[in-house]
Amino acid sequence: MPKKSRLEFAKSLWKSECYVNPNQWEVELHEAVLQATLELKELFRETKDPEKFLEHIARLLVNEITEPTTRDSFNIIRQSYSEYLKGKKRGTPLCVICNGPAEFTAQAKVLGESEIYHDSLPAGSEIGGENKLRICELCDFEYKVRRLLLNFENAYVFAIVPHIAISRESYLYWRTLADSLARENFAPVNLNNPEFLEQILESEDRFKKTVQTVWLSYLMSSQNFDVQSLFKDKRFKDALEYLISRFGDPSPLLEEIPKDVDLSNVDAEQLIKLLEKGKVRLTNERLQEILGLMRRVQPVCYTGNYVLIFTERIQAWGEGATAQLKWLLYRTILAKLFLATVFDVTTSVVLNESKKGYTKFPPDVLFKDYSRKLSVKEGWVAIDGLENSLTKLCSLVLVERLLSMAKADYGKDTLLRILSEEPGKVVARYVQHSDPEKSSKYMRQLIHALELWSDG
Amino acid sequence: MGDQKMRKPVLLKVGWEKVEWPTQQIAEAIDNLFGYLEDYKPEQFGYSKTAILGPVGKLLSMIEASQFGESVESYVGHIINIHNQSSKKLITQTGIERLRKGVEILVDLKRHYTDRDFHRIVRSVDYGVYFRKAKEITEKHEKKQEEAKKEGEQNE
Repeated sequence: MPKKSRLEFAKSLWKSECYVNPNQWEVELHEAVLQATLELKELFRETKDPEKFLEHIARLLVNEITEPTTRDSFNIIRQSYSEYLKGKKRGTPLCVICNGPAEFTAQAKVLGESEIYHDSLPAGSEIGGENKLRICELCDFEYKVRRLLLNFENAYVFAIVPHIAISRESYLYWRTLADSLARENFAPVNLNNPEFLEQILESEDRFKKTVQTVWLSYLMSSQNFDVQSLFKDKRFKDALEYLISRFGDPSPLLEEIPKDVDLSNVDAEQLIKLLEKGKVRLTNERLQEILGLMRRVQPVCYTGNYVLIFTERIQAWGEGATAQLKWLLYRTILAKLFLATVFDVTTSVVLNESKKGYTKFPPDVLFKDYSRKLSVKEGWVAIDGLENSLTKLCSLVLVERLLSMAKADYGKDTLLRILSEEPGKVVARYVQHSDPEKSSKYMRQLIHALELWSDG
Repeated sequence: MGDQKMRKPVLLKVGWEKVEWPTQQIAEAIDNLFGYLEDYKPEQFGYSKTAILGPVGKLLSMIEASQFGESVESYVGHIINIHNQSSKKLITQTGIERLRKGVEILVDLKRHYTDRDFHRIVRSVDYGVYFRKAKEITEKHEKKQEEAKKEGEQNE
């Protein structure tokens, strides 16, 4: 309430006659109580069961304090909700996935655990409530088969689907692009790397470069692959170690070995040094095996109209709101690369859902206030808002990474805190934990990312 | 009991009254106070909030506590005094004007908003000015480093 109104209200109180004159106040109160008692007396005379009447009056008096709304209004609400639920039971229940006749109660994992987007009806037998979401036998079977055949324990699965349809040429290109994602390790774990995020933020180059390379490789049907770029990757070393221990020595991994090179007692690290100097070369077959071992993204199941992409789960992201935002960023990156809709099909059967944009926005109520900022329309990252959404999410995650590196993060909910904090406050926190003079590059990155996030 | 009438419901007004957030005024206050800080050259540079904001930090807490009521002149006078004691550069006429404008906006906001809302407004202005200033310092620092690098290359 504005200050002026509050003042007016206070004035009206202390200028009231009753307030000024306590005797008059007492007289009025006395009269009101007397009147009420007399009315009660009349009612009491008429009652057949005085005990019950007294109990009723006592309850009303208590309710006046504890439930300052009439019981009748509660009944009206309860009744209308019950009518609503009854309406849901009429006729043949329909499958919420395919609209066919439903026979089973859906498991919460099939349809997601939020009731908000399902007409207030929950799924799963363990969740309370009278009515449940129902699905048909076929959809239930499809889900169970998928769970049996595919191991989702350590993977996330995304389906990439064209907005309308793709030609055969585009499908072949998609296939090459999906392969390239695996080879270049375009993996979710890269979202932990500020340089990767910075590349996406700085310009369109990251995407342009990837897309151009893929187009070229598709047109020329061969790709120049720089093996040198792998040598500094820890996973390359791990993969080499694994193969050396499997074969007993590194010679089966290599092409012709020069006479002056002694491979006895050579471990992975020493082998990498030899590879760097160009003294030995990996055979193509073993190189592919190493790439396979290093892979964290696996495209599978090419069909004429969609691609499935398996990626590793990142345990550090957890399962909460933070993880939801990071997976949203990853899906947005995929959407930008393929310019197509990306569904998370790890647990839900969603391919029949109508597409309203590039990818679905997490339904968590925590993100409600930020949906407009992230160009979300009707629960989807909108077609015309992909770039904006990508920039905002990328800058948000970059800020989180920089805070974590400086040990200035807010714990596991850092992303959520950054969402709501003043940018200046985040900078102040960063400065408290690091020396900006020494790490001016990161300070510039932080300020730039915060600007991009808070702009608009 | 059968024809008992429904009680007159007791209505309680709950929820927050929706107040229009003064985004425009906050941005103007930030602009003016940031502009004023062009005149403020502290003895020692640093990235801490106290070092960067100088007298502005003091000003904001004073206005929040209504130290001089609604007297714009008093706030400006007090800050000029602090400025000239702690800055290597004396305050200019333009600086004074910007400071006055910033103070006027804040005093006006204080008049129209509740203490709770005004506290949020002050925080926004506080961190807004700090963010702009930190950005400016970082850019200057980077520019200096680049120039030094170029000079080094030329000398070689």
